[in-house]
Formats: sequence, structure tokens, C-alpha cells
Amino acid sequence: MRRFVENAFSEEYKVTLGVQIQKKVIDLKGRKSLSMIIWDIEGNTTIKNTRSSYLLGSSGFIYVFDATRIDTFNELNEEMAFLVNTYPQAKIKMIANKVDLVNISALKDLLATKQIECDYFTSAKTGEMVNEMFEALGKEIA
Amino acid sequence: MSMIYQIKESFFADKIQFIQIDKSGRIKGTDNYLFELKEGDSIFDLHPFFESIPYYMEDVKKEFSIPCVHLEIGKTAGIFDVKVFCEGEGFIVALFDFTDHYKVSNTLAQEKNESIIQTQLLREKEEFKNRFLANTSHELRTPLTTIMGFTTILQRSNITPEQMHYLDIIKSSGEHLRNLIDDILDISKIEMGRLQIKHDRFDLKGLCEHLESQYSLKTRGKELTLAIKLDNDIPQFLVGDKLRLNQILNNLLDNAFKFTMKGSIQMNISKLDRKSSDIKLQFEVKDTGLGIDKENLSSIFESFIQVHDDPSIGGTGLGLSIVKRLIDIMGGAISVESTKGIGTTFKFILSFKVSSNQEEAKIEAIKPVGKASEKANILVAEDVEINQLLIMKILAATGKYYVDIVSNGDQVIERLHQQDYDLILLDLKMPKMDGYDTTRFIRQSEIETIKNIPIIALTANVAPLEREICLGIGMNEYVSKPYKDDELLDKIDLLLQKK
Repeated sequence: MRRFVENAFSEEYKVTLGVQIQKKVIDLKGRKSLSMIIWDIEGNTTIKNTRSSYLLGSSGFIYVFDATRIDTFNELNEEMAFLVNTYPQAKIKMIANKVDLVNISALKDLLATKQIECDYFTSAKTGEMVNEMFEALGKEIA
Repeated sequence: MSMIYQIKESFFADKIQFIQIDKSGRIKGTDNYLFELKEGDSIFDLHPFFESIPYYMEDVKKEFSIPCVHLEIGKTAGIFDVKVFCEGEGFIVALFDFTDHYKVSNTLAQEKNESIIQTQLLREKEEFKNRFLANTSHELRTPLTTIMGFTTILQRSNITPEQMHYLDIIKSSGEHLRNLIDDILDISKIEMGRLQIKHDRFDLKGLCEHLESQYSLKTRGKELTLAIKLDNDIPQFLVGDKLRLNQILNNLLDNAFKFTMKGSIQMNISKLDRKSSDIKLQFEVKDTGLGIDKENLSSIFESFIQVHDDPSIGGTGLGLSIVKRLIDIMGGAISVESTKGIGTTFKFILSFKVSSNQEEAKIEAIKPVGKASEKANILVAEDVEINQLLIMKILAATGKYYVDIVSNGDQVIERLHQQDYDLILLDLKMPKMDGYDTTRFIRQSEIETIKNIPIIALTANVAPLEREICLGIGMNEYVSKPYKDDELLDKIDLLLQKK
């Protein structure tokens, strides 16, 4: 309860329309470095409502969901299926964000009961696992 | 026409920029209306978005448009729709500046988002409150059972009249506390939408007579009269939720008695309408009490609101809120009229079905037969020592039972295989094997006497459906804590007679 109240109007709930683009260069250890152009796309109730022009031509997707919003979990497998079927060439990672606010083992149990395969558990706030996730996706794309 | 074109051109001049680039991103030409760019520079170095263009074009071949792109080049930042199309050996990039438009949209989206979050927040707060209230009332019931039980036992012992008077006070305070806990539980059940209205045949006349005898005691020693009037044209037996109707009337009468020192309290029930088996009744509870200020009238049905400041007048402020919500759930309506210093009148309308059976059931006295007339063996499973002692005292006081006590389900199973019992009193929340699993185990036994033994559940959990769950897994009866001696003993005897 306190957690919900304290975070309800934090920066993470700021709405940004459209797309913001950044570049990240990843050192792939021993191999050449990889330049990733990351399109940070506006949040939506479902990926199906996202403008296709934002998704087209992508080598990979990082699908981020809010680990504190259990009510959205039931849709996750359908969301992944949409990406896999519509963009078969792209590498996809599913990420649970805001894990600093939840009990990770309970979250993993809950996702397991719903047969949701989440690749990473990250915290944008603490930076936990964020770099690891980008590096893993980079390796797969390279 | 040429003037219009000129105006149009100047109007869009500071909104659109065209840039010509080759496939490596080198700028071949630019009109610099928005960003100051230099021919020969690489556009890819200016913003990572432009680096995507060749990759994107591989997929779309001729042209593409991307709306609402956030770009920052040098000291200029904005939000643009971008259109890119192939031209000769390179591309033309058109930037349309919609910064103002998107900023307005962003503000609206932010407000919408915050309003959604606010709604979720309120819902979470409400659910948290209701869960808290339900859990708290459950926890309060357990010690209250002990207080009430031992008070009754103490009253049966050899005590002086003065001590008896003190015990009466303890008991009536305990009853009051139990009612308050019930109120809290009710309001949380109503707010969570878990309260279900029953539709059973009941005796309205009997209910009125009961209320009259219950409340006429309260007029003693006061300059106060009570009149309960049920119109003759209302059938005696109706179909509805007697328990909840009784609760509504009790709350309104309690309220009237609380605020009326002298004068009269009247309860009138009249028929408003009858079509076939549907009947609409108006209930009126009228007092000559303190009355309520006009400005407070609108808030009297809200939870935890008490309009009188007098600390000697107790309560949780839930009574009228429960009344209104119950009436709402039952599809009725309540109104109040009041004049300060003159009195208050509550009126509510409820619809019922008229029972097709208007015959009064003949009550035959239950004769003690079978096992109830002999001394029965009862096994009590209860892990809390003080509760063990209480049940032991209640059962022992009757002189009708042999009692064994165990403290968990494993021990119940063990005892059942060692000795024959006539009935089990089973606490549901116990360490090791709880009451639910114990029941399931017993009902699957291959030994008939064990398999069919009557079980009464004892629990402080009065959550909705708890009774149905208990009966569903094979228990025969359910007694919620704090229980009254008579209620428990009646249920024991009834089951023993059936055995």
C-alpha cells in the first residue's frame, strides 16, 4: 500500500508521447563493438495499438512490463505472441521492471503459474540488471 | 493566387525543413528553416534517429513516415513528424515541426494517466481498508469468545447478588462489543460486494412482536412509550431476508432509543402497493428525540460519521451507513426528516414476495431421544488452552457429556482410532493438520463409525461462504465465535438426536 502511494506519481509514471531515440555502444568482449539505436516508444495498453512505423525494421525488441501491476500479467503471453508472429526476424526479450518494489521470488512464482517466461528482472531505479540485459540482446543480434 | 502561395509558404516556412542526404548520411542540401545544418556534414552524427534511415528503407523500399519523433540537434529541440523518401542515389528527409501540438497532447495524456492512477489508488485504499476491517474483526472475536463464555460460567457459580450484577454489566458490554464488531464486519462485506441477500419465508408479524418485547424493556424507568404497528392488510408470511430486515429495524430502533429521553418511539409498517405476489411496504421509525441539524442530515448515512458531539453517546458511526447500504442492496430507498429538538423520522420502502403458504407452522417440542438422552462422548479439537477450558466448562456444566480434548488434527485421527466418539467439536485453525484437512481425512475413512461421525466447526472466521465451505467438505454444522452456550449446546443435541 505505502509502496503504491509513494510511487504513484514518480517520474516513472510520466507520460511521453511518441518516440525518443538514443544510441548505446556495447563492447561485446573480444569481438567488435555493437552500436545499438534504441527507440524508446510511448507506453500503450497493448503493443497491438503501437504505431507499426515505430516497430518496423527493428532487429530486436525489449518488451518491458511493470512488475507491480499484476492485473496486466494475463496479457503478457498474448503480447509476446504478437511480436513473435509479426516480426519473426527480431530477437525479443521480456523484462519485468520495477523489481525493487516487489518480492522477486514471489513474482517468479506467480509468472511461473501463468507460464510466462520473463528474461530479465530489472530496476530502472537501481539500474539492476539493465546493462546485462542490453549486452545479452546485443550478443544475440550481432 | 500567387499571394496565397506566398502567404502559405511563409506560414509553413518555420515549420518544415527539407534535407537531402546520400546513402552514407552526408548532407547534400538543406533549407535550414528549423535546424542550422552544414552541407558535407554527416547527418548520422547529429542524431541517432537519422542513422536508422538506411536500415528502415531496406524494409519499406520507397518512403516512410514516422510521427512524433523527439529530436535535439545542437541547441534546438522539438517534436517532429518525419517523412523520408528515396531520391536518386540518396534520400530526402522532411521534418514537420509539431512541437506545440504534441506538447498539448502530452499534457492531456499525462492528466488522463494521473486520473487513472488516482482511481486505482482510491480502489486500492478502499480494498486495503476493507481487508483490514475484516481481519481485525476476526481477531477481536477470538478473545471475546473467552470473555463471554467465562462470564456465563461464572454466573452459574455460587456468587453474591452484587457479583451477579457486575457480571451482567460485563456481559452486556461484551454483547455491545460483539455488535460493534459485527457492524464493522458487515460494512466491509458490503463494500467488498460480498454480502448476499437471502430470499426465505419469514414471519413479519412474529418479527414485530419480537422487536416489541425486546425494546419495551428499554422504556422501563423512562418517560417513554413504544408502539409498533403492523397494518392488518399486510400478509403475515413474506419471502425476503429476515435477518437483514431485523438488522435494519434494530439499528433504527437502537438509534431512536439512544437519542430519545422522553416522549414516544413509533414503528409503523404500511402497505404501499400489492400486485399479485409482489408487495411494497413502507417502514417508519419515528421518535421525539434530540433531532438532527439540517446541515448534518445529508451526511448521516456515511460511514464513521456521528452528528452528535456528546461523548456519552457511543457507537462506531456505522449503524446508519449499514442501514442505507442494506436497503440499497435490497432494492429499496430510505429517507429521513428531522427537526432539532422535536424528533426524527426515518422512512424506508422495501419490496417482498408474499409467501404462498400463510399457515403458521406447528412447533412440536423436541423430545430428548436417542443419544441425547444418554451421556455422549465428545471429542474437542482446539489448540488454544483457554478456549479448551471454556468449552470443557460449558459441556461439563450440562452433565450430559464425556469430553476429551486434543489440540490438532493429527491427534483427532489418533483418538478416533482408539475410542468411539459421538461427535467432534473441531476448531478450524490449528497447527499441523487443520480442521479442513481433518474433516477431509475423516470423511474418506474406511471405518464407518469414523467416516460418519458428526462434526461441528468452531471458527472465528465469519467470512462469506465460510459456512458453505465447511458444510461442503463434510462438516455437519458451523458455529461462529463468539458463540453462546445455548447455541452450541442446541446444535450438539440436535446432531446427537439425528445420529
